[in-house]
Amino acid sequence: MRFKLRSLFSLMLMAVAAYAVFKARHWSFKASLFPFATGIPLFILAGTLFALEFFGGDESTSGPAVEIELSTDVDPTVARRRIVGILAWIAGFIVLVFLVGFPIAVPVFIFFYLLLQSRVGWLLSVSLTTTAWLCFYGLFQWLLHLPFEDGFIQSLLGL
Amino acid sequence: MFDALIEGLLLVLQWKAFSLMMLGMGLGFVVGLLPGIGGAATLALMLPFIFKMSPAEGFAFLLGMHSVAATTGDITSILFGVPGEAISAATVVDGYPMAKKGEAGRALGAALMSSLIGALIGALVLALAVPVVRPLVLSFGSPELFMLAMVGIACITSLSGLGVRGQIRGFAMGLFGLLLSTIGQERQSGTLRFDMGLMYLWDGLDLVPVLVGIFAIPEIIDLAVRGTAIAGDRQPENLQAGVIEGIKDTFRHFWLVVRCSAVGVFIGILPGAGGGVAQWVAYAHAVQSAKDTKDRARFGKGDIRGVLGPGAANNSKEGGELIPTVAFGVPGGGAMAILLGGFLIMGLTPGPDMLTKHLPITFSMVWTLVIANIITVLLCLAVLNHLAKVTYVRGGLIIPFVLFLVFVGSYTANGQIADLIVTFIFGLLGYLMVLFGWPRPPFVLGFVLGKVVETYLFISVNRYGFSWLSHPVVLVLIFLMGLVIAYPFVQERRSQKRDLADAL
Amino acid sequence: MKSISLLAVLAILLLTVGILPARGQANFYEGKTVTLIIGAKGAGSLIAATQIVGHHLGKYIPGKPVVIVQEMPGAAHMLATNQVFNVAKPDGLTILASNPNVAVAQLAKVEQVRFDVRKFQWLGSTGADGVALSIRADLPYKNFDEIRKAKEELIVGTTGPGSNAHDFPLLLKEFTGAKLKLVSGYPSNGDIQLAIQRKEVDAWAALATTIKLAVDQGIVRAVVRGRVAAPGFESLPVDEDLASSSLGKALMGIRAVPLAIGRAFAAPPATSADRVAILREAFAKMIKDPEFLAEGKKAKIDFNYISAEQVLKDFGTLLNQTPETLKEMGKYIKLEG
Repeated sequence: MRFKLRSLFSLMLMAVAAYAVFKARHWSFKASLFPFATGIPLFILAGTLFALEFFGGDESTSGPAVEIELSTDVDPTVARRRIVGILAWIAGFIVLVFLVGFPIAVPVFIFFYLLLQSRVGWLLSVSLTTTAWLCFYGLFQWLLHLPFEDGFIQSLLGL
Repeated sequence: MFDALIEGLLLVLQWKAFSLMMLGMGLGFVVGLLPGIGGAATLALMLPFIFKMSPAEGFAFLLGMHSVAATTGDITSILFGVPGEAISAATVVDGYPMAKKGEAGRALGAALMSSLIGALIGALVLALAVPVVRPLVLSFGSPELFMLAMVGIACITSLSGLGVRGQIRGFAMGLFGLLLSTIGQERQSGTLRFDMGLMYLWDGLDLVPVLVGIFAIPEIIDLAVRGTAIAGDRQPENLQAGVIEGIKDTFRHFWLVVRCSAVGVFIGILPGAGGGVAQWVAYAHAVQSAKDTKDRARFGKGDIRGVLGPGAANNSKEGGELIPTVAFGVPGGGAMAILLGGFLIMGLTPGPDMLTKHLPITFSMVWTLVIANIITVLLCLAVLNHLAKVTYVRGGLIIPFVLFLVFVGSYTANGQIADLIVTFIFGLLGYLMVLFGWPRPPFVLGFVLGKVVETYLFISVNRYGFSWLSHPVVLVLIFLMGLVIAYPFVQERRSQKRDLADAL
Repeated sequence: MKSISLLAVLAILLLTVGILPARGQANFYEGKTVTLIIGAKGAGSLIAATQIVGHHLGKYIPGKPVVIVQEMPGAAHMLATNQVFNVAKPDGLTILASNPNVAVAQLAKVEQVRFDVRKFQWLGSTGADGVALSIRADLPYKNFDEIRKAKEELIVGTTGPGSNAHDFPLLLKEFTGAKLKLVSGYPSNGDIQLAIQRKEVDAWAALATTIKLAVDQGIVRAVVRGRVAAPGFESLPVDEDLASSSLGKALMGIRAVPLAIGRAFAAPPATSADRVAILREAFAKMIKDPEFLAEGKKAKIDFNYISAEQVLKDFGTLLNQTPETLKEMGKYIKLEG
């Protein structure tokens, strides 16, 4: 009976299902039918799986899911560091878009990622960033006239 | 009818219509390649340009763009594991592993060729269906649509792992998708469900940010972890040979390609199902075509059939989707709804007129699908080598570009910054799913079909009580659903028998 | 090395900001893009009309800016309305292509409403639209009276509460005695039309422009209409005349006002007076443009100019309801998602 990290996922599903059923309990029949019909079985299935994973042995008989598999040939500590790193970059990009809008966030993000994360040389970073920015401007703004919202900072400063 | 067919062809071959089609194709090529930015969003942006065009020219432009995007979307799925179009997500599951094994050229060749065959079959069905389309579509009422959606959901068994835990996980993910599809306002009572006080969620979660997040982000994270090029540390393959091998594969599995094209067309014809579904049902069918469990286990690791199936279906559905759109004004999918807007602008009304008075225009659409796809495939074959080289570029150089495209694409669907957060959350979810062995395809199926299932179930019961359960087509579909659910277990029995026979 | 990279970033930033349109030009609109935001996606007369406006409005704004249409669907136009009211810059470059039904949400004091229709800078409307209930062409009823007297229920397909398709027949059912059974949930008008042809439902209500397309194809016949008399529907009985109570009349009236306002356009509240004047003038001139009208004809949309003052007046009337009416309203008029 080892605690496996992966069983947290089943727990999460149980929590979501429970929340859904809880919220739906006061709704009219029609509105609550589907949440109940999906939430309750989901809770049961997730619960079963949690029990199987937690108390049962490792999987032996089940075939692999029809899905891609993540690479396993990288050292786990390195892998963990890189996962956190990339997630931080992505989150940072979203925050940047919120703050200054896409037209500025895109070149800034690409430049810094190339320079700091990928350790690409200064010159290459600038030229790649400029290319990306030209494509962005050319395709999205000039050709397609896609409107991009201003960032938070711009509206604050009344630009 | 034959005259209209020829007239339609001539309409497309006129130099103005033809060059507009090429222009549309160029745009569609780029848009399809770019992850996130969808054919549908771009169609909406291109509508203002068709004011000055005649209907044949307008459709040549719009359809040229849209049908090409369906083909090139597969390219991004294979090379980066990031769907270029929402409808190309299924190609990721086997296409990307092939790229990781250094077989990108082969996967691309197969995707292109199957896309071409799918498109041709779709166009053929569209053309042939003209006399029978009205009775065909009219025979599918709400009960039948509900059952059809259920058949789609039944495909989950084929998309889940075998064995107790695999099936449980698959079903749980399907249910999870169904549950999430209930977010938003319930159509019949007007109750707001799970909106967390946010107006953004009143219409529910939008498909594009969810799909882009759940399929693109995990692949990007994995690429960052590996720290290598997509194809690892391999030497560049002989791409030319790879592409040709892929084309040969298409013909080796010709009947599978044809069957998956048929699936795509059929799902496209039925209003409501949408393209998001066709690719997965085709994929499930490809999995079912495996001879036994061992053969089945190759899916998800880079089996060419996993590329052929969805590749064909997401192009053939184009022809299928046009049928209800043109004949009834009922959009077969999101992009078709926008195309309908184009009809109004061009002064046309979808309906019987399009099949009689304006038949040449309808046929010009058919020809556009045919010609645009043939030209695209030929052009792609020429540039594929260079495209596939991208898989040998260092991951660290690719990631920022893919990320920016993914998020810009997610944003342009509805112009909401909140979509970016949705993409991130589902990206995280998708990563955890792949990490812990929970399959994503059943989730997508549940999510996409959830609203369809609920809507048509309620309408059916409201209108017919329970008598609809005895409608003939419904009974056929119930039987089909049973078959689909049972199939993986049949495969299991077959492989057990084979093992037994081998042992003797 | 670090300082050089910082300088580079600054350079890139300055370059980006510098390319943003410079202020203080003699002619403000020159080289700029005007965005028409519409709270819907896909097909429909509202979107088509907005596209046509987008095609011609730029001609009449000094500086001839590019005009684009941005679709921002969500919460039945409320997301877009909120956005233009609160977030969009009031510089005359963002215009809302509104669906006046959002005023009903304001009236019903929906929590998430963060706008006041009276405070928008209205530019005018491209014309009112009517609403009509239609029945399948092969049904034996000759007019609405026969439907009211009939013993069998007429099955009406609708999209959901809050839409024209649902509310119009609902009020008819409650206040004129017609035996209508509403089957809701159809994803779009096209689906309802299909259901009619399948004989799954018998009747369908929608904007007059939309119904007319089906009438012309011989699929349905219109039997009763709302207050606004769209061309071709003038001779039909009006729902308000058939209402059995004053409450019914008031509720039908509430639903009729947004339709009378029609396809109205607005700039954010804080937009400066001179920019609003420019836009209003451009709007009025555009509606007289023969090419504009021709494209409208092609799309089978009837364009008529309604002034900003009239629009504002109508909104004022709508929002001025007795407390009793407001209390009862919730039962019959829910909001659409």
